[in-house]
This record gives sequence, C-alpha cells and structure tokens, in this order.
Amino acid sequence: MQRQGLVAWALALPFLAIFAVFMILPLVGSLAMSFTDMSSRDVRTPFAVNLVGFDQYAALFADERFVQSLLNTAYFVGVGIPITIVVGLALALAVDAGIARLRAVFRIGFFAPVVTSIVAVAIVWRFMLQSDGIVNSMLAVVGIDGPQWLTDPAWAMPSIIIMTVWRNAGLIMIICLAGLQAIPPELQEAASVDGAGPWTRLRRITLPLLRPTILLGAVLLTVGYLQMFEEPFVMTGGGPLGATTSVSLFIYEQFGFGDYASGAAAAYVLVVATAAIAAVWFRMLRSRVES
Amino acid sequence: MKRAPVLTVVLLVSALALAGCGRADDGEIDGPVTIDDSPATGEIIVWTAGGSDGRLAPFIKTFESDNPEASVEVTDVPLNEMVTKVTSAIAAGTAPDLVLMGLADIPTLIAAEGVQPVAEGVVDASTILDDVQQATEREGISYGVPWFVDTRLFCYRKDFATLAGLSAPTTWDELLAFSESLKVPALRESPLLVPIGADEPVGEFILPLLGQAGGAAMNADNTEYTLDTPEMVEALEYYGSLFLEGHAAADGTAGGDPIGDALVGRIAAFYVGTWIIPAIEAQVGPQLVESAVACTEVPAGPAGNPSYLGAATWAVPTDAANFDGAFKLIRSLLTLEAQQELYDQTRELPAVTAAWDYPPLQDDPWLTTARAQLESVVIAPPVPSWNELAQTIAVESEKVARGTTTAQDAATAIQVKADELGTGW
Repeated sequence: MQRQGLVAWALALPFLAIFAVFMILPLVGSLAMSFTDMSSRDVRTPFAVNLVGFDQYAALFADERFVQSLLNTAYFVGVGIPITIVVGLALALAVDAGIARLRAVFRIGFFAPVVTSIVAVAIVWRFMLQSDGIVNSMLAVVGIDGPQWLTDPAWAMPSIIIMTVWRNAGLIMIICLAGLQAIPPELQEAASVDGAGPWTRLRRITLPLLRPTILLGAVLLTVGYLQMFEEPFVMTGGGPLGATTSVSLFIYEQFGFGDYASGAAAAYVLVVATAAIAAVWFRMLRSRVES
Repeated sequence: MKRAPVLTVVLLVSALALAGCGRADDGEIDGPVTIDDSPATGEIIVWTAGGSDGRLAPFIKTFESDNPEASVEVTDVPLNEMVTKVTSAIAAGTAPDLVLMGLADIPTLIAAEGVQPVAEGVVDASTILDDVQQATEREGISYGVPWFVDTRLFCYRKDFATLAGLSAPTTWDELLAFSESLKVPALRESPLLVPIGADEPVGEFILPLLGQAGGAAMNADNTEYTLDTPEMVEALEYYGSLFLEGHAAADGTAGGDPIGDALVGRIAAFYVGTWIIPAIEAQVGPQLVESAVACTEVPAGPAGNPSYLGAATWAVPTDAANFDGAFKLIRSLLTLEAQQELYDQTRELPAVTAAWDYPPLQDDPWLTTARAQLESVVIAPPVPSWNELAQTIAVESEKVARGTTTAQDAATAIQVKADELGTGW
C-alpha cells in the first residue's frame, strides 16, 4: 500500500508541480503582497517592503473610488444576472418549443455573441451607443430623443448591462436547452391530459425541473460578472464619473499606477466576494438537487 | 496536526519565492557606464510604444548595416501599457535592452531603479531641448535620451472658420466666442474636442490651462505639489465651462479618431500634438489638409499660452543584457544626420535642437508653428507619482465638467490626493 502511494504521488508530481507554480504560488504571493506596502519602486528589491498588516484593506474601504467600484459591480451583478437568465431562458423555451423548423439556425444565431471577441463586440456597441450613433439615430426617426447612453452616469451602467445580456443570454439558452431536453416528455403529456395549459406546465413542471440548470447558469454568470472588465474598459473607461468602474478595472488601474499591494488587496476582496456568493449558489443548488 | 506547519511553510516559501523572482543581485545601480567606438554586437531587444516601431525601422536598417555583428529585434507595445510591461519585465528578470516611452513615465522607472544612467559618450545633453532633457534627470544624472518632442497645438477646420468669418482664437475668451460661432457649422453640437474622464489624457490638458492661468503643478524644486491654488481653480473653472456651456462634447474623444472626426466635420477644433500632421496628410493628402485644416499656438489665458510638451524618450533598463549595444543604438539615433533624417522620414520635431536648422524643417509651416509654441511650454511634473495624480485630476475635472462639484472643491480634493501620494521618490 505504501509503495502504491509513493507511485501515485510520483505520477501526480508533474501536475502538482505545475499546479503549485502556476496556481498556488501566484495566489499565495499576491495574498502576501496585500499585507505589505509593495509598489513598482520595489520590483528590484522586493524584500525591502514593509509588512503593514491589514492597512491596505483599511485604506481600500476608505477609498471612495474602491467603494464606488464595489457598488457598481454589485449593481451589474444584481441586475445583469436576473435579466440574462430570464432572456436566456425565454430564448431556450422559444427555440425548444416554438421555432422547430429553424431551431439550429436560431441556436447558432443566439449563441454566436458568446463566442465573439468581447473587445470587438464592445467597440461596435460603443459606436452604436455614441450620442450620435446608430441607436439614437434610429430613435430619432421615430421621434424619440435618445439618452446619452455612455456619458450620462444614470445610463452608462444600464447600457453595459444591455450589451452584456445580449452577449451572454446565448450561454444560458444553451444550458437551459440541455436542461429542457432532459425533462421527460411524459410529464408534460400527463399534465396536458390533466388539463394543464402551457403557462401552468411551465410554472409547475418545466421551471421546477430546470432549477438545478438555472442555478448552474447563475453560478457561471456570477463568477464572470463579478470580474467584469472588458466591457467598461472598452466602452466607457470606467466613466462617466466612475459610474462603470468595476472592481476588476480598479485593480487594473492600481497595478498600472504601481500600487501593487493595494491592487492585490482589492483582488482578494473580490476573491472573497466571489467565493461567498458562489458558496450560496452551490448551497442552493445542492439543497434543490437533494430535495 | 501536521497541516498547520506545512501550510505555514508553503505560505512563506511561496511568498518569498514569488517576491524574489527575477530579483537583481544587489538592487543597486552603479554610475553611468562608458561606451567605446567599436561596433555593436549581439542581439538588441527593443520595445517601442504607440506605433513607433515604424518610425524606427529605417534607422534599424542603417544601424545593422553599420554594425554587421549586431541584430535588432523591435516589439511595439501599447503606449498606456508600457510602464506596466517594463516594470513587470524588470521584476521577472526579462527586461529588454532598450525601451522607448513617454517622458512622463521615466521617473517611475528611475524610482524603481529600473533604468540605467545614460552612458557617457552617447549624446551631448546640451544639444537636447532643455525642458525635456531636464525631465530625464534625477540628482544631476540623466536616465533617458529624448528622441523627438511633441507639443500640443490648436487645430481647427479652416474652411468652417472662413465660412463663419472667424480668425484663429488667441485667448480663452476668443476661443469661447470662436466655438459659439461654430456650433452651427459643426455637425456635432459641440465644436471642440476636449478630453474628459479618467481614461483620457485630461492631465495633459489641465496642466497647460494651469500654466495659462499663472500657476504650476509643483513648487520650483519639484518637491511639493501646489494644486489647491486660485490659478488651479481658475483653470478648472475654464475647463468646466467648455463642457457646461456646450463647447466640448460630453463624450470627449470617445476613444475615437480626432483626425477622422475633424475631416468629416463632426468636430471643428481640437488640441493635438504635431504628430497629427503626417497622419492627416496620409489620410487625405497634403492639398486637402492645406485647404481645410489650420494649426496655431494654443489660446492664452491670463498669464500666457504655455502648451503641453512631451517627448519620446529612450531608456536602457538596469538589467539589460546588451546595454552596450543599446547605448550604441541610441547614439546612432541622436547624431545630427539621424535627427534630420528622422524629420525627413516622419516629420517629427527632433529632440536635438541643432537639427531644427535643417532647411526642409525650417520651411515646414506646421513645425514653424510648433517651434513658436515651444517658446512657452509645460511638462509633466518629473516625479513618479504624477501618473497616479493625473488620474485624480481627470476624475475631479470630470466632476467639474459635469457640474457635480465646484472647481474649488475639486482643487482641494486634488491637493489632498497629492499630499497623500507625495512625490513618489
């Protein structure tokens, strides 16, 4: 047994080495960095940094820009995820039930934005949403004075959410489609025989059986949305007035300024938030599956 | 029971190992090295910023021909990423041999002990435009070599102005009147293109306004920021009025293309560096530019009309493997002949002022305006904290421009941040 164990460890060693170097080491290193005052001036003398305990974390929460980035990220996640799930689920139901003939075409069409370069997509959306862009031009045709989508602090985040929903609803659609196809058709048929209409079947059969699938989609979206970066980076640069600065964008800026320790601390705040929310989702997922 | 000590060791070892990656042997920088007149040898790794690889290409050919045992490999890096990339490379022990970056980024690398003093015999510092040469120095030692300089001019659609019966504005008030008259001809409601927001170069716009109002970002010996002053308030108020009174678009440059916007008439006027001239001409040809675009010195405030001055600057990282070849390459780029050829190839304004006597450059009307503007310029404060403070200036200026704070409160907030950051040395 002992020899078998050694052989197993020997076989696992290459993976463990790679895992340690590329996963554990950066994670631990950046965690350690967050308890120092390391900046770009220390890159050649990293041992000269001072240990400052939780000072970086305290400074972060006293920083108006960081607090705003937290709130912005919460807004993006809190509003963006439910809308993405509802739209994705609606698309899945439509593709699964209502559009039988061109199902493959619609499936590919709705999924295409997911696999398109986010930078290219964001640039196109930015031009579309400019004050004199195509969206406002089209609204003007029907007599509507469109808002300043990307330069009005009230509209900038909703604009980014609209683009993000457009891009990610296809992912939820694919996941939900798989879930829908796993629901035994006998259940739907039996309910129909008992007189249940489409709405009742959706509420009483489809949605309850799709819950694990939806929760899985929610977990995936949560992790992705909490780390939103490219969308504000390309479309608004975090503005106007910081209204779209996400935590990831804040971290990027801190590293750009050479404030490595502050950036590392902000990254760990994001890690903790992501882990906490994901844990809640997984707990819900597990309890639903078990029930 | 064994887990806690193991975890502790892993934590410590990992943290120390990561922190020590690529660390230099002693972290100390010696004084300037000396290079001889022998040909360069070996591979020279060069990073340029913002598309300057194209500017460099013809010179590399000549250099490799003159130094047959040397080869130069050039990689262009996005301008805004250069400092991050270079500091990361320094930390990882993979720094290139030579970097070309903005003048304002040099202090950050000096503070990180990431660049070497300029070797003796590379260039006679007295031949370089004084304002930019001084900005490369720390305690009397130069760490960078400016290659070409760039100052902002005020460019406008000459045909629009003619149509409206206007001449180029020379003062702040005239600019407002000029813009007011151009609101109709400009296809976009706001005639001026002015940077706004944290992702645009607002600091480079506010610094000259501050100078035009009679202030300066730092005291005379660059040891303290002086930004909560009546002059700064006046500069911020003027900046804010450009947006609040509808002269400048709320989406700033919108990450867009000022040349294209000006040429299609979306905007009527913009502040831009002299690099714009060859770019515009390449797009539409010199004749159309001549008839449609004019550039003048920037409008003056109550205390004059200083404009922003930058410079593309060469620096050799401390850990450069082939620093000898790198310094020899710089030397080849800073000869009078090479600087004149730089003008021929790119129409950039060379950093060596003697090259300005080159007859074709003397006859260039655009650069005549630029040289006149160079009589009155401001540069970014030559301290490491400037880049971070510039972002705060952008954030606070945007608040003024959108009417969510007063110029006085913004100036105070900027000074608070400046005090918190210090100079960064």
